[in-house]
Amino acid sequence: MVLMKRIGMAAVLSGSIVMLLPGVAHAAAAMPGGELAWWIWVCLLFVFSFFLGIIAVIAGVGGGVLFVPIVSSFFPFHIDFVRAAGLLVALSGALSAGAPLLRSGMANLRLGLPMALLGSVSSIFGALIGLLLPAAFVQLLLGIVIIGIAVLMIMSKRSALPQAVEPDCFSQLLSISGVYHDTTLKQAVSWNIHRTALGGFLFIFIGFIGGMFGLGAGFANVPVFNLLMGVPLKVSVATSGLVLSINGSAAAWVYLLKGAVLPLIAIPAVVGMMLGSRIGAWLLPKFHPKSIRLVVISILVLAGIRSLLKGLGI
Amino acid sequence: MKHNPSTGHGADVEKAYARVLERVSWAGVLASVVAYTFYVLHLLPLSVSVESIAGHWHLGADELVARGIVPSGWEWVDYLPSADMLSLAALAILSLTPVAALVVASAAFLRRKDYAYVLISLVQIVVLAVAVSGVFTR
Repeated sequence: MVLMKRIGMAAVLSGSIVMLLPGVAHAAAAMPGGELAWWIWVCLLFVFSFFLGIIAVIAGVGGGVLFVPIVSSFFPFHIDFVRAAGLLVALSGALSAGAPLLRSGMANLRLGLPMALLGSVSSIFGALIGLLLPAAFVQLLLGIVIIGIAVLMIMSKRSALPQAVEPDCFSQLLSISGVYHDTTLKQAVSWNIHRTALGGFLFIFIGFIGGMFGLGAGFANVPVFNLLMGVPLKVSVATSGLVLSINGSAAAWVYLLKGAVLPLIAIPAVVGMMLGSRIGAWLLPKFHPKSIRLVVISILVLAGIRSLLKGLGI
Repeated sequence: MKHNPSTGHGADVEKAYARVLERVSWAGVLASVVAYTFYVLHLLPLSVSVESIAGHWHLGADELVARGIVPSGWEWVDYLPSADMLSLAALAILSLTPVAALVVASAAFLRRKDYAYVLISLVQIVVLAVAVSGVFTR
């Protein structure tokens, strides 16, 4: 464990030096593929996505949030194609994890569907607007959003079992409540939600941001469900994937029909991430999630700064 | 408070949704891997060479569409069964997974006479259908 921590810290330190070197990013940005053959970039993307899948599962974040800022900064692909691939990466990860979570009663359709409906409409508009904006401006905004996400991850506290809440009129109207079997507590846990209208409003905003930047929005879905609406953490995480898969699907089609989905890039990213996620799920008990989370937050901050600098042309 | 028919360990609507989600997404992933193998190994003809894509992947999507390197809208269907467009079709299948799952879920909600969720599911399908139709991307 100590060795792993040291390796992690060394990776962050060396990564931070490399990431902030303008020459490195310029080298990728200036050339279609640099001196490297196309298949080397594709292999690098597959390997990168594979390791990202491992880290993302252990840290409890979606792959898209790490994929887009890092790949858009260090690979020679235009940010349009990276955002489209990021959405497909997030979508496939959510689809992959969705079935078992639904069967176990952890992901809840009654909770997820109304929020996904609101989020999917805004994600379409987010994708449309994102594709209209100049690439440098998108890169700049992406940097700001990614640093914001890192701050959100540092600040937000998670509540495994929020206090019982009094259901509001919307949640009563739609009968949004549930029971799931908590394997850690070894008991059935029942839950209700409140602040449904405010939650719905925030899902509109989250969907827009997700569509615009090609990010899976688990980083925002989970705190809204958990901290605002009073949903238990496990149900929040599981249902967030359900929402993400529907929002991601809507936005992905905008990118696809705008010519922004390049299978040459998207498929290795999707397959690498899915394989990595499986390994990550297997490795999960062997790692301390807090240390990995710290590494991920550090990577997010660095990727955000790099994205900001690239957006400013530095 | 009304009885919630979706509570409990793995309610039937969730199970139906999960079954379709699993089958269609795996079909999409499998199709992606097969089509991609055909694509990069040139086992089938391509509509645009890999080298041409790689030579322009630093340009934006609009630029590639303008140069005729990538298709816009539903034009890609015209180039089937070229391997690159088969790969795109496989990704399209993957992206359509929630639609298939929602169709099954809406039928399951209807059997329960849970009309609010039948409506939500159907409106969601319409939203996704609008995105797929390309109405906003023309």
